[in-house]
Amino acid sequence: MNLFSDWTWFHRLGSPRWFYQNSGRWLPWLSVVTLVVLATGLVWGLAFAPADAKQGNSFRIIYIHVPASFLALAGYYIMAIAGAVGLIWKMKLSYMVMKSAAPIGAVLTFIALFTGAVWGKPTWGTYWVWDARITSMLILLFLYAGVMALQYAYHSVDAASKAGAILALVGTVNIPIIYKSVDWWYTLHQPATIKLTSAPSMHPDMFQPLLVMIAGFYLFYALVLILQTRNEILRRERNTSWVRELAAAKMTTNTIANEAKSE
Amino acid sequence: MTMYFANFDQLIAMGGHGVYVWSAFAVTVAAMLWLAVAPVIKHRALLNDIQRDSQRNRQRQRDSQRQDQNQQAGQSAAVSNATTDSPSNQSEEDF
Repeated sequence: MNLFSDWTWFHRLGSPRWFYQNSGRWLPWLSVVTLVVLATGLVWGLAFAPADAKQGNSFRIIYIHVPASFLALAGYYIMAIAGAVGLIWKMKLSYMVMKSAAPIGAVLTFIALFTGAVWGKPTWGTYWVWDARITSMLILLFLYAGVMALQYAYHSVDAASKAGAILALVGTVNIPIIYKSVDWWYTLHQPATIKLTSAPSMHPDMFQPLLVMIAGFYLFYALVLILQTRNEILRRERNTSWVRELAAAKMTTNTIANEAKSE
Repeated sequence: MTMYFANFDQLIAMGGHGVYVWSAFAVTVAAMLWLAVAPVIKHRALLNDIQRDSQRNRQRQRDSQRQDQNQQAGQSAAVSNATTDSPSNQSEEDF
């Protein structure tokens, strides 16, 4: 296998056109699988998993809170790595991925903060405390917002991409702080439930739906990132002949479909 | 596998935590639906927009070519040397 000896796969992957055409083929499958996994996890976690001995049913918020937090962090890695690849290899597609990842990460961070606040009320008696974990997650939200804002702060796409990539890379110092915050400054937020190094501190009946939800969120993230990146490709490549031909072909099929409907 | 709750009312009530659990899930589902649906709508709008743009471009090119031909027919051939940047080239650069 000459996967690493010749670099054509790398260049192909970096080609917006190649990415657009291939991702179009995966999208229907990915959408269906994502929907099924998320629906399964949702019903399992909400209705079938047993209630927590101490927290009662409010603990069910874990089934969205933990997956959303996972993806808020993983999404930051993806954004920062995409930015770094763009800076190092000047890969256009990589910058498009970076730009697309920012709003998705911001929404997931918002979900993590919101569900955490709602969970905090019955559990801690308060919606918000300036706990280290919560504060560092809020900083993560601002970092995402900063990368998003930088994309619109420059006239030149190239300058905006570079500035965004640098902010994303500088912001990675926040990631280990978020991970370690529950151990370094243990105040209110509970330590990690899931660790790679040890068994989860959860009963399997509660843990299994959580794993399904985490898998579902990963699939969902991949799906939305692909959708956003495809739009970004169209925006930046709109003057190329392949995008124009694509738009023309789509319109013709749409008109044919509409005419068939009206008949 | 059996459901944890005895009936539908208990599922809604969640032992008094219903407000918290259901509001958290409702906001999450709404946010995620928006994340997934917005780019699909945008995708369609973008393709429409690109198609309209290139159609307008082609129309302009055709118009300016016709203008050129009319001009050339009406005027003497000597004038055409002066018009180095013809309208047809310009319209292509505009977009």
